Amino acid sequence: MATATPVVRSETHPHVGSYAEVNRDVLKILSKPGPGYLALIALAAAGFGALGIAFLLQVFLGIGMSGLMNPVGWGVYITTFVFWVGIAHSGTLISAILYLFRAPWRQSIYRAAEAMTVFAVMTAGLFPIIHLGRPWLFWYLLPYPNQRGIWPNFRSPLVWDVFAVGTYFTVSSVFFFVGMIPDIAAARDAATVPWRRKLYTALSLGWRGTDREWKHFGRAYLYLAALATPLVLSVHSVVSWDFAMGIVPGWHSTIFAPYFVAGAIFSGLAMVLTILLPVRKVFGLEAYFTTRHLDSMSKLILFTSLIVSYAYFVEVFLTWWSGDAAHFEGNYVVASISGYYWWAGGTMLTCNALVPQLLWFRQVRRSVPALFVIALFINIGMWFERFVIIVTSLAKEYEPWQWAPYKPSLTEMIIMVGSFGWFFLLMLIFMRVLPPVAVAELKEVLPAPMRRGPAAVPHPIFEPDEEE
Amino acid sequence: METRPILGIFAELDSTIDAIHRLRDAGLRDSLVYAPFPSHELEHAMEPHQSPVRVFTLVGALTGTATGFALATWTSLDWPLVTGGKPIISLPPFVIIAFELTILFGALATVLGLFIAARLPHRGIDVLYDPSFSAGRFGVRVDAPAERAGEVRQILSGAGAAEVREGEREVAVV
Amino acid sequence: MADRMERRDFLKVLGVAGGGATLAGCSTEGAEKLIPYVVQPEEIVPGVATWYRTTCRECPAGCGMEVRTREGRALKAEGNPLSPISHGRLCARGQASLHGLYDPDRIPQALARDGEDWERLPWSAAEERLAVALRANRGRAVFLSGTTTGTMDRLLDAWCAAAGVERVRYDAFGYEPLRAASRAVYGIDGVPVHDFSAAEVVVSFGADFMETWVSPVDYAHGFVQGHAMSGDRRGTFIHIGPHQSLTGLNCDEWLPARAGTEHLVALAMARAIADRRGGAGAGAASASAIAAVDIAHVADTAGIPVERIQAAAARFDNGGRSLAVGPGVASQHRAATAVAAAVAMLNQAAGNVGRTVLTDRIETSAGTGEYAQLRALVDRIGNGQVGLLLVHGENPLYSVPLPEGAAEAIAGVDTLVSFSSYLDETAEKADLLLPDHHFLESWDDWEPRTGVTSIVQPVMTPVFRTKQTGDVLLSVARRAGFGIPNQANTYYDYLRGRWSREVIAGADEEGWRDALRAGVIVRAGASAGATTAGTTRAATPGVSRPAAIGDVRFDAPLAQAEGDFQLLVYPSYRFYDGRLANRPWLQELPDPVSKISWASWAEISPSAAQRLGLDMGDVVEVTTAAGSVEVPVFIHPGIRPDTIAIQLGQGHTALGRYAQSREGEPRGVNATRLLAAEVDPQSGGLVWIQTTASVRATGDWEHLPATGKLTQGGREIALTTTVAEARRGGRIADLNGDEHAEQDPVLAGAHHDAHPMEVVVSELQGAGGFAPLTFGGAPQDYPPPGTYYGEYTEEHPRWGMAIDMERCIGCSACMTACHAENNIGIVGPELVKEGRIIDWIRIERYFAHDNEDLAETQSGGATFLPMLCQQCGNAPCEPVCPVYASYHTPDGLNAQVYNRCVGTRYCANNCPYKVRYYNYFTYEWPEPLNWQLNPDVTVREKGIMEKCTFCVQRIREHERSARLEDRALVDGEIVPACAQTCPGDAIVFGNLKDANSRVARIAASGRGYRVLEHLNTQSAIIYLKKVVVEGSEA
Repeated sequence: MATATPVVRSETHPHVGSYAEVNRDVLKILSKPGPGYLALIALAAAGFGALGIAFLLQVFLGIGMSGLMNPVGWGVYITTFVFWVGIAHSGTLISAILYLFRAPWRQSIYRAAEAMTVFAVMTAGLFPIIHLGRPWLFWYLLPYPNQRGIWPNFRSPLVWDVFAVGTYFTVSSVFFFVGMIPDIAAARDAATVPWRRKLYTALSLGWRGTDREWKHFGRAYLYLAALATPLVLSVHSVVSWDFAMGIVPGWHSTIFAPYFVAGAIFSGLAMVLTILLPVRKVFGLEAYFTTRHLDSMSKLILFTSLIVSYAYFVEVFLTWWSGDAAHFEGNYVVASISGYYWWAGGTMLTCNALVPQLLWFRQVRRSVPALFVIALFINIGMWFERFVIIVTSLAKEYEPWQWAPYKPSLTEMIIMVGSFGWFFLLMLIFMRVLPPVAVAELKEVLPAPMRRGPAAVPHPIFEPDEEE
Repeated sequence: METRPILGIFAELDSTIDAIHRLRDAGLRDSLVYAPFPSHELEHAMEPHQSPVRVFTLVGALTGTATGFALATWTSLDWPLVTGGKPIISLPPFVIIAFELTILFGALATVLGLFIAARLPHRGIDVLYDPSFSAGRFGVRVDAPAERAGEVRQILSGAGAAEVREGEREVAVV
Repeated sequence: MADRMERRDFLKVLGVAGGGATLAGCSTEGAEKLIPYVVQPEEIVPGVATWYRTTCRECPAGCGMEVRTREGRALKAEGNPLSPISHGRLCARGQASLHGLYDPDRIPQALARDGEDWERLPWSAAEERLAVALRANRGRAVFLSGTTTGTMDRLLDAWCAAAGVERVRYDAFGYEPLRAASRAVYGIDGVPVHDFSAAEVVVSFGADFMETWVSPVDYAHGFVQGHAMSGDRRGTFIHIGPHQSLTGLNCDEWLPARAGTEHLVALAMARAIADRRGGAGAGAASASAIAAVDIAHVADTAGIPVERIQAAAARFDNGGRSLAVGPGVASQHRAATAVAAAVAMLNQAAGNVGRTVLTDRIETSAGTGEYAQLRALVDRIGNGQVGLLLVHGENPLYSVPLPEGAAEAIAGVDTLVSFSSYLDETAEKADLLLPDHHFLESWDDWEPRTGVTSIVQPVMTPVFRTKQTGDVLLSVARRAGFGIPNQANTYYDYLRGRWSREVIAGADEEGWRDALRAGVIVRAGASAGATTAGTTRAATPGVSRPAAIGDVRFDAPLAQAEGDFQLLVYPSYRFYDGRLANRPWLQELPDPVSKISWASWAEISPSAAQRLGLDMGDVVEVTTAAGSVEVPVFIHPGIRPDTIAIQLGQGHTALGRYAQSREGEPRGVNATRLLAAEVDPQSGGLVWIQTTASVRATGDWEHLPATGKLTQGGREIALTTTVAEARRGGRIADLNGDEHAEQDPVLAGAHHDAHPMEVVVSELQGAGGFAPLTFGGAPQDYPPPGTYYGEYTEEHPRWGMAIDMERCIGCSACMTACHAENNIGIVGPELVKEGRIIDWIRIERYFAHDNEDLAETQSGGATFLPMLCQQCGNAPCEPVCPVYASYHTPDGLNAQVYNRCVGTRYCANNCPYKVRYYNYFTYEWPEPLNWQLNPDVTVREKGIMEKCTFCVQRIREHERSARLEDRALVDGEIVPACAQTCPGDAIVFGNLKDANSRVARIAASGRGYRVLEHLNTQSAIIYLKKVVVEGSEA
């Protein structure tokens, strides 16, 4: 729409002109997909199908289809579970914590990040059931009244998991959906295709954007953010206690909670990059995910990488300092780099401690290809970190008679890879069906159109950027 | 006395606020503003009351805490089985359950609060609602007595409304 | 809460009864048939076990056995406490006998060869055929039998005589050299009885008397009595020979004498003793032989320092409380008779005869035949002089080396009749199969030892349509129309008749019943003269047995040199000569030494492996003049660098699905194929150590189905102490003061009521547990006084165990007993490789403490640690289970509720002892193996964690009966399967809270410790350190 007022540029999104542009650019994504997209969907679906088949086979024949054995009772399944729970973290982190801190670079990325969170939790949720010996009885873990009078054992970290992950899934989904209502309304108003119109009309709950709605929406969103923030920190702490509560050398460590949270954020941010960088390119959203966003995320990644690396070091030191052979030799870093699992340990240290150091350089932080590669490295590295923590510790415990290496089986690998299929399947569908960028909130950081000359630009946070 | 809805559509924020102020000066407080995003300026201009959502959040959260402890404690006593020489009532682990339920109940109650306070889900859309509101334009809607309709139209256009519409029949303002 | 426990128990009972009912359902017919057979019908009550006493026939030793049956099914074999042979114990073979009974590959009925396959015959027809064959082959018929004693031996003699059939005896392990030598030295016709319990110093010249040698259970039992630390007394065991089998690994000192030099070492020791005594202690005859020995030269030949021989001799000269034994099969070389004679002379020299070597009685079952006779027979078969060959109790086509073409000749006999119950290598070639009953289905008796007659009675009706050989012979005699003395209609009548004539002369029916209940008759004062074992044999061509010491040739040649390794073939503890290779329990049981199951391996020393660049599992080709086999190596610190050892028992080309691979291929190798059919001219026995072999690495590697490690990797799991240390140690209280004693839950019972915290504790316990502990003391002060972990109800006992590693010989009988009692699945070789074997109790074998890196062969033995669920008070496994499948019972057990388990495996991860085992698949028991399943124990499906619970079904059973009889439980009343069968009585079970219980008293020993005690698991198993004898002490 033509406006008489001179256009004032946003500091954060200098290339986004007017409110209408936002709607146009974002909502155009919600359109008929091309062949490339359909191919990706098919690929992802195939991966998920393979997972299903492998799992059913395992259910019928027995968990022996995995490579698990004595003494290694947990392997790829739990590794992948922790991996996905970790991925699930940055979503709510970016969304809630940055919201509370009013970080202005949050708006463009948080929607996709939240979606990633919800889907990652949905993926992670598969594994506790997959890894059970008798998955058809998984509901024994739920607190439901039964004639046997037996309730779950609330002293067991696995039951904490049920509550933590369950709560996290629910709250993230709610947070995700509530934040999206105004944007769905926008999509509704722009929709031309009948089924989309119906869908958005239903999902938008009749949102009109009146002052009352905005008022309550604002408060509710604030409180949700306030609740979600401690939740984020708690969930991976609880997951870490699955191990830290154990007596296993290499697991039994007080540092695990903060260390796992840091690792989770680390891997989560990496995954955000892995997803957003291609999206940014494909849907031409460079104006919304500016290099500033990339730069800020890179700094956060570098920071968390340093925390993780510190944890590696300090654990080795502490176990050595304890003077207890079982704990020192059982320490996952020592065991992995010195023993049978050197390859896993090497991958972990390279990807998580060394590669991210590149982010000290500004050019790297602002180079899309470089970031993408680094992000991939981190994803791999963080998977191996969990593998190393879980497996190497179990493979060399207190009882020398029962020291034995574990090798993942084909079934486990298929299911692990298939879980990515499931995740990306959900992600791809989301991209085309729901607004992947926060339409309404972006407008907050754009300069409002004024009749009488330019007003002060909201949130002048960033230092002027000479490159643009 | 018969009132009729009159809607002014604005392109700029400041003129919208202008309109609101003028209406208020004219004693026409019964107005409703459409905006594409939560604008603090607008909210301020509307002199809002405190939102009740926070009460829901608090009550929900506290209920969650209580439920968490109660569930863990009662079920443990329902059939007390000792594991690992630990107390039947092992408080530290129960704290975790209580914490998680605090968050869960708190969040759900918050959403409930939002829905109740904001009357969501809201069936149908006002006849005067314009799709451009979600795109970027602002709307000010006044329900004025029929005889003051002219005055209202004047105020709106005077404030710089790009367009002024008048509802034909009575529509409930929510 | 108590009520709920009740309810659970009740449900358990229900379940058991239900299981019983189903079993009864399929076996009522059997039960009815069984009742008139054996004891009073009213003894069979559904859901209540009936025990029958019989005799184990898995090896000739003849251990008294009692079998638990339920609703007509045999479920569990245990030792007969009245038997002087078994002392109420059994070895793994005896425990596994039920798998022989229920072997799915047994020959189901009489079969006749019909071209390539078999024609099913009714017994009448089968017997008719045999009768016809007998008539046709008068004078050309031979009955080849294995070790037989007692009534069956009489019947065979009488029957063969009447039928005009020549009888040939030979035994897999006949101990011919021993028998020849004891005739020459002691003048008795058989192996004398050895009393190990009276021997403080034992010297073995390659006799594996804890595994297979003569009467292993009795000897192992006696050995532990005389050897294990008790009070201040500690025996010494010196092992002399090139190789340590299980027996050797129990030694305090190992003199690795070169194979073929044992007799020289024995004589040298006798010489040393004579020198010490200033003159020969022995008879004049031996004096000359002894005097002729030059110790220095012997030391040189045998490769042992003179001092060590001298020292050993000095120790051995122990006022008649020492014992030398040997040779065993593993040291049966050309000079074996000389070894036996030299050992006998050594015993004489030390004055052991009549003290530890009881020459007035003989082990009648230790060989009744002779390999030389089999050789002669084989030659005659080759010349076509035999038209009818009946084979009973042995498997010549597998278990011994035969000359070129002999196997074909035997298979080619016009009529080859086999009485074997299984389709073994010989039966496979037979024309007529007359499958014998398994001994648990048979009426018979057995005379293991002079003056001991042990009853064999059926414990259940035959599983298949087999017929006992005794009955077959009798009815064939009728059909063929020849009478035999004391002719009877059934073998039972024949047996009964002989008993009332000879064994329990003059006893009435009640006397016979008493005999049946006792299961064994011991006649004191019976002397070797009275023995009726058929050891008097016709002269065999080429064999001249020495009549006196003078005739013994001590200069027999050593092995011929063909390769660089002395080849040593030794009997298998698990499979004996291989006849038991079709028992899945035994196949799965890790070998006590190598811990390898389901496979064959060759043992070579670390240095030899280094020289050949071999690693564990590398496949080598072992070649001798007789043949060559390819087999993976096990690097064994208990073998001379110039020796390679292969165990007998595997490599079956027949014998069914468990002895062979799934594809019907042999499992492992048959070591006898490396031997020539060579006869020891001095005794007529087979020369087992005859040749050297060349060893070549093939470059292949085989994943051995092995468990465990060689050493403890620097961790302190199996602790040892010294004699001095052990002598110093009294009760824990004495060592560390009363305070410690009070803190120690083991002794807590003693100081129980005195405790100030008592009130607090019981209040907390009223709430069902403990309040969280605030404790600021030093780690060693933990746990604080008054906190009796896992005992949250005062009135209940705290079940616990004391395991004395001094008394554990590593025989692993407990492992098989546990499998039998608890329905533990057989996972098979592939899953063993993948580390999925299920052993609720396992024997951890850790090699010498003197060389942790195992660079060289060891000088001593190994330590054996039985590891099972420690039933921790602070069990790490319990709180992590999300569904309470693992919880703590009021009497201190880590209960595992199988139906509740969802299979998270968290408990196993969190178990520091790694004693929780997981069902990765659902394991099958092919019919009729499933008949053996214990109805008192849940059968687990895939995805369930399982573990030892101290045989909780036995605990509950006794608690219930005690409640019904309104009495208190008696200490020692409850005995878990492992403790019950332990020949060394190493495992003692009981209530740790009761300070007067046997277990609490033993646990209080100064040698007592808990594994991984620093984890404060408060485990209920107290181990007693093994005592290691330093060189100076040895």
